[in-house]
Amino acid sequence: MADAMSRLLNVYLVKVKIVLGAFKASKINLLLILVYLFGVVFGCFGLGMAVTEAIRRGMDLSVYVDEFSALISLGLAVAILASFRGFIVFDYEESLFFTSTITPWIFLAASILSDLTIFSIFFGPFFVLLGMISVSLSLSPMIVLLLFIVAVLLVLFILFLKKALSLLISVYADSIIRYILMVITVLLLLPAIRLLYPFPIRYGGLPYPSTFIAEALLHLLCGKQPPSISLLGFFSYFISSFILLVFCSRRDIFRYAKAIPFFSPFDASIKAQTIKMGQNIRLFSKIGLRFTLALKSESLFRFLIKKELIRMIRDGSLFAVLIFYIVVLIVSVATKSAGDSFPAWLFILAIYSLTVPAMLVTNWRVGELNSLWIPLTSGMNLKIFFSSLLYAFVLVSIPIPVGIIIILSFVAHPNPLLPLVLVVSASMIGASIHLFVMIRFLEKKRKATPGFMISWMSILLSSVFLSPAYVYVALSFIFGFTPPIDLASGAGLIIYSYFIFRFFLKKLEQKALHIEI
Amino acid sequence: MSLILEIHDLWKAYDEVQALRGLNLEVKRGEIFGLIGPNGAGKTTSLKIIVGLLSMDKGTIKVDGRDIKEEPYEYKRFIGYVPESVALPEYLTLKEFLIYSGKIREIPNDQIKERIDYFLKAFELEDKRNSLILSLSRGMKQKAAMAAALLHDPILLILDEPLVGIDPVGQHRIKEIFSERVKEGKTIFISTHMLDTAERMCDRVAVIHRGRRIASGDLSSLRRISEEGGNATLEEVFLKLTEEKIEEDKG
Repeated sequence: MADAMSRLLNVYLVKVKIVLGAFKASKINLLLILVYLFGVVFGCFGLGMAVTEAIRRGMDLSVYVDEFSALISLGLAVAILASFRGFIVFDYEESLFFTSTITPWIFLAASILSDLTIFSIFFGPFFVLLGMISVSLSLSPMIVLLLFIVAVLLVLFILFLKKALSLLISVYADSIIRYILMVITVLLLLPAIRLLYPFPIRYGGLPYPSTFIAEALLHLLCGKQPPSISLLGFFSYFISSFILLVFCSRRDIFRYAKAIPFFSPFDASIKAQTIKMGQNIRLFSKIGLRFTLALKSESLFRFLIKKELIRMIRDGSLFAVLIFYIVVLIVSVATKSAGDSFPAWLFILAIYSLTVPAMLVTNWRVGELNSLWIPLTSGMNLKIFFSSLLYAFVLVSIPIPVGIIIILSFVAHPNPLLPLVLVVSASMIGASIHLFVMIRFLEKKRKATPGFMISWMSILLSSVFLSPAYVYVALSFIFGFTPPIDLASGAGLIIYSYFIFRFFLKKLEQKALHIEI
Repeated sequence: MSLILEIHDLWKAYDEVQALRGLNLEVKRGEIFGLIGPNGAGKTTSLKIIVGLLSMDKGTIKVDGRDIKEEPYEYKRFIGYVPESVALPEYLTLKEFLIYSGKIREIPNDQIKERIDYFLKAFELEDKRNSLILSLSRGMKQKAAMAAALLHDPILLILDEPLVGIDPVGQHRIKEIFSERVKEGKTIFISTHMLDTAERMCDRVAVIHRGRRIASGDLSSLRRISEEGGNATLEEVFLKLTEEKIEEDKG
């Protein structure tokens, strides 16, 4: 027993150290994670204050069971869908643990513990939120204890479920399990329709795990004893997930494992993303091969723009942008009936138009970083290379939202000017800043910084440079500026954005000389 | 023979690790020159600095008489490079990749077409012309990268472990292509672990250890330096030289 525990501890420590070890690669990684944690802590603090105040004023949180259940259902649905990949292990785990005396049980237990540890680091502030609410509302120790138990069990429930279903899918590969799980996922999400449209089924009346958890947590947050049925229901689901995990892991599960190259989400995730990119290329090249890069008499600049556009078609970037904005279109049309949803729609657009250039640049990094040695060693003028890249990003990130906005201006909202200014500015400023920041991190000693943190940092920087556009749009909305004022200011903002675009392009050209790969 | 590549007092450190410590090398025009050394000796670092993928801390590199610090772009027009781990744009077809390589080298379109046809045939990749790079095997990708590196007819071809992952028939074909180029007065500079390949292919080799050159010359002069017998293989010479150096370092 002691020997098994010691082996479990060793496997656990190795797994955690390997995943979190990426932070040691660069001091800036540590700094960024601290910034992230502080950001989330303050966000949770604000949320905690609002919730506490609302409860103090007598708000009954249990009326939000449907909304909260929908959120938990979404988490469960993601866990179920993620399990479709089967029992995935990292290649180092296969060669290090599967060839040793580590048993499947020790491996599974260590995996769940390490997942829980990593989860706790990143979602720890949410536990701080629970603590803050408990203290502010002077909840009884029994209630607080129960609150934390339910929260921890919820995390464990998701982990058990994901692990068990992954094993089930790998062990019974050719069975109908996938179809059953898809039906379960649909059923799990179906009542969420009620949040948008009148729908006869609601979470509150269903024996879903998400409903039980939502009811329990919301009651506990209000300092009330949760209904016994909620607690019993949730514990039954929790125990069932554990039994399912035990059942699935009875076999020699190592035989069913699919090894993938190791990636830490905090460092070399580019490896994992490269694998995913390969899958995307296989999928999208079926359409993408209709557009070919032919040998024509055209300038190198135009040729390179064409090459980038082809990349974005074949790696699915263009498709992702389309999906992004189609969601905006659907949300906008769906909320049209709910009165004047223009501010909400504008807000979604502001977020999306900032995210799209970041996504495009990140996809470029994943797909092209490894082959960047080709232009870098060719002797070509790197100014042409990077400017063509930026123009290609702008060519994708402007026309699609503009098209959607024009459609929407006919369908839902009368004034397309503000959204157009927002989208064009965000595209020009976002693309140039994202690429600049990305290239900055390719300089000496900065390579190990995780991609998601680079994106996060560049989103912050873009927001700063986009603030004139945001401020203007807000002012125009609040004070209802006349169309001529909007038109003149919009033109001014687009000129300003173009200057920022040119400024960062120039900076980019200088930085390109210092890239080290 | 004039010099195509001159490396003088080259230094490079990665944080606390000193990868190169005053490396000196001279490569003559029209030869196949091999850079050999144990793992971590600084071979790949040297190659990456020559082709401009890494900066140097100190030193001078001249390619065809051009100082690469003074002319960071221009000299690259005369070199071709294939890294050890070949990563290519996987979303392009082989033909598109070669067009891209030709375009960025500013080769006229008619020549690009002609050379693509020639190299696809030379590397036996004709039937893969319209296949995505993603679907090619490692050896095929290596050959594709080599074809791209040769497309602009460089006077200096720099290759890091060029034969790794390539089947024996492919290796034979590549050696033939190298020989043809050397006959035309072009230079091949390779870094390799495969000592038997280096022995058979290279006119001269340099042995580097811990970022310094410990010996260079043709096989007979290396035998003299290492005091190995007249029949000693490059492997035996290499082992003798590096072991001596390790002993020296320990001392």
